[in-house]
Amino acid sequence: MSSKFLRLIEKIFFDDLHYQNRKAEQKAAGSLVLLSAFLCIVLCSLSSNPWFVSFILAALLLRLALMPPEQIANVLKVTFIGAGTAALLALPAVFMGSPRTFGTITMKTSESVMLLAIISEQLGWKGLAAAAAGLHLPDLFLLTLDTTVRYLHILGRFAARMSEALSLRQVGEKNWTTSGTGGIAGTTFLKAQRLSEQNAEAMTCRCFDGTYRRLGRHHVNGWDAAVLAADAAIVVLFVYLQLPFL
Amino acid sequence: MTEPGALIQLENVEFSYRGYPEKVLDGVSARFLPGRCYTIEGPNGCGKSTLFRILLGLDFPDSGTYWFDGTPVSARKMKDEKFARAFHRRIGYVFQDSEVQLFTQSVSDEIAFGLYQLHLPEEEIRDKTEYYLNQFELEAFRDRAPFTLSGGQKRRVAFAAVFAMDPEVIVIDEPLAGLDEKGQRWITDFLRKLKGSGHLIIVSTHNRAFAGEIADVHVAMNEGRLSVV
Repeated sequence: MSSKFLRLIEKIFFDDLHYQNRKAEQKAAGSLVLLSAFLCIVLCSLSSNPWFVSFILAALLLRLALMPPEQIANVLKVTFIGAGTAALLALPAVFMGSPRTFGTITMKTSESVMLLAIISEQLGWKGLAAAAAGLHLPDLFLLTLDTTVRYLHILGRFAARMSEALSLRQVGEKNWTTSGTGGIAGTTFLKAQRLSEQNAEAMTCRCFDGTYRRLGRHHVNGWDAAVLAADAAIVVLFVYLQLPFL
Repeated sequence: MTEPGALIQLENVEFSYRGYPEKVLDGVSARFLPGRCYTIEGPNGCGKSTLFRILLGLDFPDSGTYWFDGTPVSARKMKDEKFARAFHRRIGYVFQDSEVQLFTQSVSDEIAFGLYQLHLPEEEIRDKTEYYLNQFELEAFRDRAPFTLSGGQKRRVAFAAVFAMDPEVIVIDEPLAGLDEKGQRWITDFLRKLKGSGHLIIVSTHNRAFAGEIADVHVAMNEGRLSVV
């Protein structure tokens, strides 16, 4: 458990101010965006026509080009990893006489990963959780999701601080790496246990009866209509391009 | 029997943690009257937090009785969900470490959390949330996740979340702990203003000057015993 890894966890979840800036950009309902993404991924997976997948990929690249540079970099990083892994796994297909399979699998994977990365960049953790709430998932599921994110942040921060404290004390010749990592993991576990007990007590004190809702209410707007129109267009395009293969 | 006027009464309460023979509370008897502010001062480990846990119905006396508004509060009584909810509705608690009592992904949701538990109409929840965001100067952070705020801001969110439920009794554990001078001033001024509002306030502190500023009754606690200063 290196301090770099712990800082990475902290960075992922601490991006709250950044999220606020992104929130202003979010115009369509998060739940609708999630459903549209799901539709897109399913249709791309079902499609036998490479033109359809290419079209979706082109549309995604166009959307990506309109995003701020930092977000573009984040999306591309994730996409390259996903596409690279898929290409590596599908590479034998080229030598076995099916190069088209190699291209299709790589493109479909790139498309799915890029789509999810764009949504993740746009909505952030809170946005994704709010979108899940918009889909009327059970309160308990949402509470578990929120609590997990919160504890990953709090405990990640705690473990990162402990790791820093340990590195400051590593001034002698003795290598503390193994015992230090064990100590950090153990202490973090105990801290997690104590926090969860206190959390449960705090919830009891506030009359918790399983109700877990959010205040935010999305007002249907033109962006929602645009997303729905795009969904309809994608479905029509899918059917049209798929006909020769039927 | 309870004495007239006392909202909270402890009668010869004793408590020790399982596996430890030492008594954390050793024959504590006290009366807490509505509309008054009590400060409890004592060294670390003297039993303040345990006393608070008993007042909140999280732990129960080994012997003696805890009366809340004339009703004895016991483990058996707290198993009655209706009673437990009504009890917790009337007594609010601000933890020393605010982080543990903030559950949600935004400050406004945090304030609304308790109001949703009370099953108030949506409009009323929105109005009350706005009111408490304003009262506790939290408008600027309404969409921020509470766990990303500073210590003083977290404390304000915790206060707002508890006050939004409008409890009759407010128990506050070490409100000044970990706060800078500005944060401490804000809490002190807030509690001074709150004193006249009819709430029963019970505060634990190590800071005698702070206790002097807000207390109607200052109580010292040592080795599990209470004594009025």
